[in-house]
Amino acid sequence: MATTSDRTTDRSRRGTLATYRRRIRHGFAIAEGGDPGGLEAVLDAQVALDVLDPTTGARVDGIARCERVVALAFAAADRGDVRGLALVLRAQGLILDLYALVRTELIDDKGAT
Amino acid sequence: MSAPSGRQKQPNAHARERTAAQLQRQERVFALSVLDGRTHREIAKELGLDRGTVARDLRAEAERRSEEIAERREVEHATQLALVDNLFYRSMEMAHTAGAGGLAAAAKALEMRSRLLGLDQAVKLDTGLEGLLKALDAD
Repeated sequence: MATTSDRTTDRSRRGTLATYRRRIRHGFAIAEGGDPGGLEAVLDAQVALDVLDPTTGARVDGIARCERVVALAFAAADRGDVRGLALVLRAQGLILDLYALVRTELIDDKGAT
Repeated sequence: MSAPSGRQKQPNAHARERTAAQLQRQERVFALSVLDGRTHREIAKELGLDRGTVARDLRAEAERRSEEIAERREVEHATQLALVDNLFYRSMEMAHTAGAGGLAAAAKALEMRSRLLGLDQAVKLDTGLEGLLKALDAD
């Protein structure tokens, strides 16, 4: 049975996750306003989420976010902003890591059944 | 490959059962939740759905995407490689105007290319030294 301490820890964890998701939302809004600096904040928050929520579902969400970062960062690079290229590369690096983890987890799941 | 038993879950079975309109809706629900950070309640209100449908759509879309990731490994690998090559050339072009920033991005693109091709893995080299030592021992 969950103790009061467990419930407090769980509430605190959910609060932290919500904070990072808000940062992601805010970062995307900044990037859509034309400042690719918002994407840096999105990737920082995503890295934190990867640690806090190491589930396959969360990783799939992370891949989708990084793919959107790639699209927005490419648009910034098209406008001549060199930060865009660095951001595409960083997001692609994260996508590769997340893909590898999801595949491994799916293989493990299938092996276990 | 063994035939799947009746009790086993078929890949994409859930996706196949859904109509095109439902798939489109679940993609929209997923984007609102994951990319825009909306709550289930906000999504339900915006799309005129009940919260149970939102939760089901999110689960179905996450499942569809993870299956796609597992199935499309080779295609994804080739896509990533093409993207990194494109990034390298763009970075080199930008190096003319942006200088060090462009070169740093080009170097990073090359690093990622090596990673994709597995060239960053440690390789055991046969220098022939072991054979030479054995031959000397035999003498």
